[in-house]
Amino acid sequence: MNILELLNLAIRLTAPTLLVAIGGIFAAKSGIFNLGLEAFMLIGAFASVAGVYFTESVFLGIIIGMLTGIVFALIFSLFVQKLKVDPIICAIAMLTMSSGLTRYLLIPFFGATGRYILPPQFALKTIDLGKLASIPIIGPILNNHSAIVYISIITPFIAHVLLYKTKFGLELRSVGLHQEAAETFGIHIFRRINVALLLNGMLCGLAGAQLSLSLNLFNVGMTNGRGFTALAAMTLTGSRPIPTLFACLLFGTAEAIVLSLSGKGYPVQILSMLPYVLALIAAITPALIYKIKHQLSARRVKSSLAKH
Amino acid sequence: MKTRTKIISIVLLVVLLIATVACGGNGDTKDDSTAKPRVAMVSYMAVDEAEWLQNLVAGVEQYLKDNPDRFEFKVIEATQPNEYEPKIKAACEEGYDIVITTYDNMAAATIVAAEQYPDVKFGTLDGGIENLESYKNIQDFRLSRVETGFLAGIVGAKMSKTNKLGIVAGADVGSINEIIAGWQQGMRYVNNEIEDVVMYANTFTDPTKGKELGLALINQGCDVIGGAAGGTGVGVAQAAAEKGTYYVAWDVHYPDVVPDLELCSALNYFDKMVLAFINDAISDNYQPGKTTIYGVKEGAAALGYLDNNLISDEIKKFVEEVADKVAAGEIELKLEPIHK
Repeated sequence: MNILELLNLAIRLTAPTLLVAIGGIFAAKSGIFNLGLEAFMLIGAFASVAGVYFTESVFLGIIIGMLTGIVFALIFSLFVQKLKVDPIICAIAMLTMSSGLTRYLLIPFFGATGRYILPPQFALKTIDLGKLASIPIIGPILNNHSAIVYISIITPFIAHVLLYKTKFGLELRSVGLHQEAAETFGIHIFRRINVALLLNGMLCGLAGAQLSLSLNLFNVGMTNGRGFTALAAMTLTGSRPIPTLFACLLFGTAEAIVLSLSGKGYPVQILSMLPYVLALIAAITPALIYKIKHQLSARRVKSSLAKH
Repeated sequence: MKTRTKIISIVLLVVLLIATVACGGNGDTKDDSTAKPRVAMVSYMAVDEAEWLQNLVAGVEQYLKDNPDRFEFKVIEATQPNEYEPKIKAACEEGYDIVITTYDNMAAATIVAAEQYPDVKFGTLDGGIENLESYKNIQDFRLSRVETGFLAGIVGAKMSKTNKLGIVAGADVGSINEIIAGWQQGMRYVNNEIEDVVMYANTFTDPTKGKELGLALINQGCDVIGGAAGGTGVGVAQAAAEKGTYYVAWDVHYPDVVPDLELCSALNYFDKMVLAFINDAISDNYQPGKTTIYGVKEGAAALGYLDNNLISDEIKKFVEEVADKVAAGEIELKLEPIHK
């Protein structure tokens, strides 16, 4: 596998994680740490397969996946904001419920246990960029992905503009930083947090749709920890959208490297550890550099003091 | 005042509960007169939770319909770890002659119950009990995975043109490695020069990863790929469908993913295995302290084909001959993979 194919694969693997991470950022900026990203993603994956099954249209399936994500996010919001349940507890409840609910609903919806496979004509089509694909380096990396993957790549930039360049973003961040202060400015906190969670649910639903419809099937537990990887990526970068893009790309590339290295006789235990080791290195390095810089400058100050 | 009412109501509730339990106990007098052996299976998950368990129960019930006098069968669901020991003991107390427990998470509870009820014959399904030989009323039994893996390997090697095969395995654990061992020995039984690639997915529920691994196998030149990885395996089948590569399935058929590419599926019949154990146990063939492996011979494992498969009759006949040899014990199969 050459490097361009590897990066193409990395982009494909990054997309769902990235969407979920950006969703999580909206929640985090509004002051709610949403541990249950995985749950919304799983429900989105299930709902989009169900949507395609009942409407026989891929587009409507994706929309239904997103809407279901929104509905569950609003339920989450109701519990957290109106009923004052601790967000972490509520998220754990969501996680347990999502895995149980999707497992159970497979039976009445499709009469299947464990998984349901859609007919192949409902697969999410990959898009050939045509002439754009002949651009060196970038072309082969970005070619032949599904529409959701392209959306996912531009999402961090939209999120950045929304959060840092608009009034809505400013208000949202102020709610997250200090609720009382924001309230005294006449910002409707409940509504702001609702919108943030709504965006969160929508993006998680979209990520779930990418996961399930790119394979045209739903399998129990098919998110397989991607929500938590997204959580790690956004925490790693302090919930800033564009650095999160790179953090997710790091995870995606690591996963792609693992995939291309498997089957070559390396121990699987080491391989499956690799993405997390990389993340750990990525998390520690900036802090380490900062500390060394700090110490060097402190020494410089000391030595300059000693001269006098 | 309020707390007092609470306490009184709790006390009343407890009394009521005790009364109910006691009455239940009195009502169910043990009936030793029936000659039918009574078999209880304590399952660690609800029956409708998993396909293999549903098939198991359905198979045993079908068998009992045909042979109603053979034994009596009851499934007890113990879904929480703290229910294992009391439910196993309750089965013994109820007078069941044979109690079957499932998988190694029930090992500790089974040992405790076995010591307390020395007259009950215990059977553990893949129980993973340490020092098994020291227990006089526990027999371990499990499915043979290596035999069907061997047969699948033969089919794969016969159908391969590039002489390079690949498999995506769920995890680097004993039962999966047994499958790989069989698969590798099977293809080498046909052609000693054959190459094969093993990829571990490290998950049983991630079809996305399965698909990418399958594509990677095809990229490396494999023209027959297999998936022994549960839900991850569906993704491998998708990769095969996308690239038009032959696919070897495990446990289930995939007629809706690879209708014209699936070569065969290594199927397991848990009902046949449990029936084989029960029949052994009630016909004086009970072997406590030992592990019995049921496979092709007992019909607990078999190679299945789709109705419209690609396998020629010649190959099928060859596979059948080899299966007979395996059942007769003429071919010795190693349980460790040749390479990982």
